[in-house]
Amino acid sequence: MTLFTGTILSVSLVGGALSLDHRAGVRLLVSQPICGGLLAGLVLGDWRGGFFAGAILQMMFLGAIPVRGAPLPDLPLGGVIASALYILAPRATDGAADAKGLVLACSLAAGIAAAVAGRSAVRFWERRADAFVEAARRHVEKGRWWAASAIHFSTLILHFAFGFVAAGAATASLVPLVAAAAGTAAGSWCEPLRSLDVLLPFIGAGALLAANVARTRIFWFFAGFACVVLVLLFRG
Amino acid sequence: MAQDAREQGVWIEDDERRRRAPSGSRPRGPAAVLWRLLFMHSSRGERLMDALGFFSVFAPALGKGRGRLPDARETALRHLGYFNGGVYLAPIVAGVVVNLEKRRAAGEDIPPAEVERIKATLSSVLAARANRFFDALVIPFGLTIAAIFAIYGSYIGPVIFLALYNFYHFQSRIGGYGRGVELGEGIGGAFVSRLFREARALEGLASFAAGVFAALLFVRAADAGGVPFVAAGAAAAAAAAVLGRRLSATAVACVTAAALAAFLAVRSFVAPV
Repeated sequence: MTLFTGTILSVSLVGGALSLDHRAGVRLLVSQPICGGLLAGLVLGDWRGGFFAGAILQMMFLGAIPVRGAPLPDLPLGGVIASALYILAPRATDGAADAKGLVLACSLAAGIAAAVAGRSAVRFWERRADAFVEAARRHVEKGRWWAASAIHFSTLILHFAFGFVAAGAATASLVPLVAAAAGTAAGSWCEPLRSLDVLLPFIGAGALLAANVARTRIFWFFAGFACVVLVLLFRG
Repeated sequence: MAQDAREQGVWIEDDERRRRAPSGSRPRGPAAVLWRLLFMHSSRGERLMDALGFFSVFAPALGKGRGRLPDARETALRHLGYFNGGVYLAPIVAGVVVNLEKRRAAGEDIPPAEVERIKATLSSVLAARANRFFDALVIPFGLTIAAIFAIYGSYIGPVIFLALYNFYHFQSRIGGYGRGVELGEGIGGAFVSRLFREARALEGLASFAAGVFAALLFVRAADAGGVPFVAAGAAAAAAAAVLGRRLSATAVACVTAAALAAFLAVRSFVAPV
């Protein structure tokens, strides 16, 4: 139980830190799932597993580009949760190791659900964040410029707290569920799902293709495609 | 020589009109201002956007010039108004405004309305340009490279992605602020048109990398499951491309992933592995 609490705390800290990168607009992009998954894996002692789950989630959304303000899901949060579940669920039950495919599918589904919920939370926050400006204006009118800046930086705590709580709560509540599902279904119909990691990245490839349909870009897209094919042909 | 060295980088504007702020009005230094640029968007709201973040940069940058402004309170309230300069080039706007306000504080006759006009115009132009460069080009390109390496389990991809992205990111945010403070309203159409001149080359490279990524997926699918996997992958890619025009990225990912999972499960009954 102590180990479990420490583990969840580790995931929470990664979630909070990456939330600062993504939500507070620092934008070093270490929060992208392919990096965030690796970080989550590092703190959980299985960086290969974390990188694997984060990379698959990243590849599914590879061609997703925010166009005309269209919101994208909160993938950094989803990446941390998906990676944590993928690592922790098999540890929670002995039989789950045989249902890697189902664990991956459940982890990614949970990650995407968390990403969608995270996006809703951002919208909720943005609708109310103007209240901070109003409070800052009151201080500025009294000549307290420092207080206005302090209000601005206090929002960092809220961003960290959201990531911390969301990542921790989702991981703590979902690990037993995914582990139970994997334990029940191990060795049955779900075994072929272990090949999902081969097929899921095609979703990102399709989105990339759609993003490259312009005349000159599609030429370079197929040039890249043809290069790989030619190299393979010459290599036999 | 030092001048030449400063001209190297993402932007070259040697023929730009330079309006230097008076001496003593350089940025107050990394500790006071530059780190704040990275947190400028923390309090983004729906109506006023990054108003408070802009102020949190502007206030320390103005420093002691605040006391010399005849209308310090009005100026502060003005800069707590709507501001949407995007993430990447908002620091340029902040730098330009700091330059103008410091010159006002030094006694130059610059009407506040002119400061607001320049701020609003630069914000919209630069935000659109930076969003296109970063969101539609650099980030997808970097992530595609990272994904290509990830297919084979290599961790070098994220490192390349972070290096590529942050090279432009820091030039835009930290370097951009310095440019804004240095040039003031001298930042004009010529400057904006020269931003991110390598975008065209990167566009081709990004498309090429996307093609390589797609081809490698097919190779991997052929190795893993032969023709059925290649066909399923092609169908998934086509479905994602077509559905992406109608549905959100999340919906496309969920629908296509569910279809792929169903394909794998059904296939195991039809042709047991």
